[in-house]
Amino acid sequence: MPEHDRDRAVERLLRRTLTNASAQGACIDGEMLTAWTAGALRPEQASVVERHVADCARCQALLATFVRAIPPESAARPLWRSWRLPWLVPLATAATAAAIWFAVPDSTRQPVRSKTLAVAESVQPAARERDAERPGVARRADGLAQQATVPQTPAEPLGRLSPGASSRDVPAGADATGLREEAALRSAGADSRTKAETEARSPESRTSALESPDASPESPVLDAVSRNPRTATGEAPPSPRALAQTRRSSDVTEIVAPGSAARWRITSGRQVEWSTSGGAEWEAATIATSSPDTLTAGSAVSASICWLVGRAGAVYVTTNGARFTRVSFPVAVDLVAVSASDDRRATVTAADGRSWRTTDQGQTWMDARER
Amino acid sequence: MWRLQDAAVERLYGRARADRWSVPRETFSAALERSARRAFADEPEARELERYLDSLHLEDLALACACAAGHEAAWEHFVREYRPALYRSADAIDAAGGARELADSLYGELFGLSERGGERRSHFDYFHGRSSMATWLRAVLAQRYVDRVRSVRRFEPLPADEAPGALPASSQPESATRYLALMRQVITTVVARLAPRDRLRLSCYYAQDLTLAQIGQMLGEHEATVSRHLTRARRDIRREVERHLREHEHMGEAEISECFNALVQDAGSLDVTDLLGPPLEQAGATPPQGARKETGGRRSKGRPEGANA
Repeated sequence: MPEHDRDRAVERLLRRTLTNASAQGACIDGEMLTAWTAGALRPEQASVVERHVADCARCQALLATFVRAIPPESAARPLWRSWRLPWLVPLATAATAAAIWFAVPDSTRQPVRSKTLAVAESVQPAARERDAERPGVARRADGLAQQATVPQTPAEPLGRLSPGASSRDVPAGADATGLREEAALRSAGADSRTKAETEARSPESRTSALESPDASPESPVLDAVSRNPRTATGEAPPSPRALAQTRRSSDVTEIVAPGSAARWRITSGRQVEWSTSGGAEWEAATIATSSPDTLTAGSAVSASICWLVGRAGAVYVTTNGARFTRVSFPVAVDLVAVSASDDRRATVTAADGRSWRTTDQGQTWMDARER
Repeated sequence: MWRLQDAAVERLYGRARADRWSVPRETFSAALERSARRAFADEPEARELERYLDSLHLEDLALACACAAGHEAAWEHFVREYRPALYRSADAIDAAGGARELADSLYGELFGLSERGGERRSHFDYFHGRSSMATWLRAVLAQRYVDRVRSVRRFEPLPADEAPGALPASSQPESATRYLALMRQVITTVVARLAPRDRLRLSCYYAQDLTLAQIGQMLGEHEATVSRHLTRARRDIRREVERHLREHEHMGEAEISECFNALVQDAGSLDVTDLLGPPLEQAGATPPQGARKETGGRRSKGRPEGANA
């Protein structure tokens, strides 16, 4: 009989014998089991629990039910599943679109002016931020085919781009003509392109569009990176400890920007204040969230860039010092530390010791141990 | 009887924002001490104790103290923040809604309806802050659910001999029956010699029907690691069984093959575990027609490397 068949036979018997496991001694209660799964037990206690659970059908059933009771939306997905595969289709689509755009001459295409200026003339940043948060609305990737609209979206007023607008709010390669078209289409309602383009407006396509190879050198996205001298020169980021000094008192966590009078402080776990005077004067920073998270730690990179982390996978970043925006994070774990090297790259650490890093401001996260 | 220092209590009280719910310092201190005593049998070193206390979910502990004391605003906060999550967990356990009533009854216990010795007792007293409140609630709900399912199963009658669904008497030849019994005995011995964590992985996978990802989540391991360990454990078991049969039962290769054959040929002798039904999460659910537990009836859950379909 080949080994393969013998293995199969062993599996069959395992199913029957293991279901009858019965341990000696009293069962572990729910509080202890959760502490064990959370890694909150001391080694000797954890060992006792593990030995018991290994032989106790009831505790195994309890653990199994406990794991299954994690609601689907909060269950941690393996990180490689959370971004790579869903990106393939929009990424391929964006690459194809970019290739066609370059390959096919188009006499109707308007000459592209300075993109930042063009956007400044036509788009109000608040409107674009709302768009960014709306699942059905995409940012523009290039001048080709982003004039789509969502039927129920009311017309957005046109206005000037304020200097404080985040670089991510401005699409790479967008021009004034296209954006005016977009506004006009919004007010006109749906057209024949709506359906297909709405489908293309997944977060993945947005991100891939921002990172598409045809983002021009003047693109604010690239500006944001190149403005950081360390990133621009390819110099290795300094150690997190050198970047920011975090002071923690009983109820206040203070994050000091390196080489600057700027600092932030987390008070009562939920409020964030900002100082540009070395702590002499403080003003409240804005956190763009509907339900405030409990914040635990922060890391300042410069006088305007600071990352904050907190309970249940809360990650925030500011690039202007005053307004923190939520950075998506796939796992609902309590984060206790962060070390950032610029506005896009950071490593966060959970209470259970796991850590993840991002190099694109949270668009993707990967296990920090993976290189 | 050791006590926490006042300064430490004060510091933790502030961090827990216990004043939000007007939790008396003595109450909070007592909760901290209860938690610490549960973690340490003997008086710990000051640094170790401090590290432990700092690791607690203090805000949740303060909320538990306030709710146990019947603080109205705290209770409202608790219901607003945690009831939706508890219901989602209940639905994840039993999509048919069977766990919802457990979630509801849990609220009664948490609110402290029972009295013992003239004192109102709340289930919150059992929360020690070592995990988050949401995680603890999920565990309590899971515990209730498991106990209910097990108690229901205990009263389910076995099929009568004449009943149409009764299992047929074993038609195995005598040698096969003997081999089966022997294999069961040997495999039990071999499994008992494995490391506890290996036994736990095997049980979670083969008995509890958890997926590799779920096992990994529970044990803090990558699912590829779980898969690798399962494969290794199964291979070790097989080799140990073969060795045992060879060295202790003095069997030749042909006879050893017969032993394994007996397992493969066994169509399912009367087995109490089979009669007890499917794993918990499937209780109440109708299995696919003609599905067998070992083969087609199993949901896709990731296979350990080299596992058989």
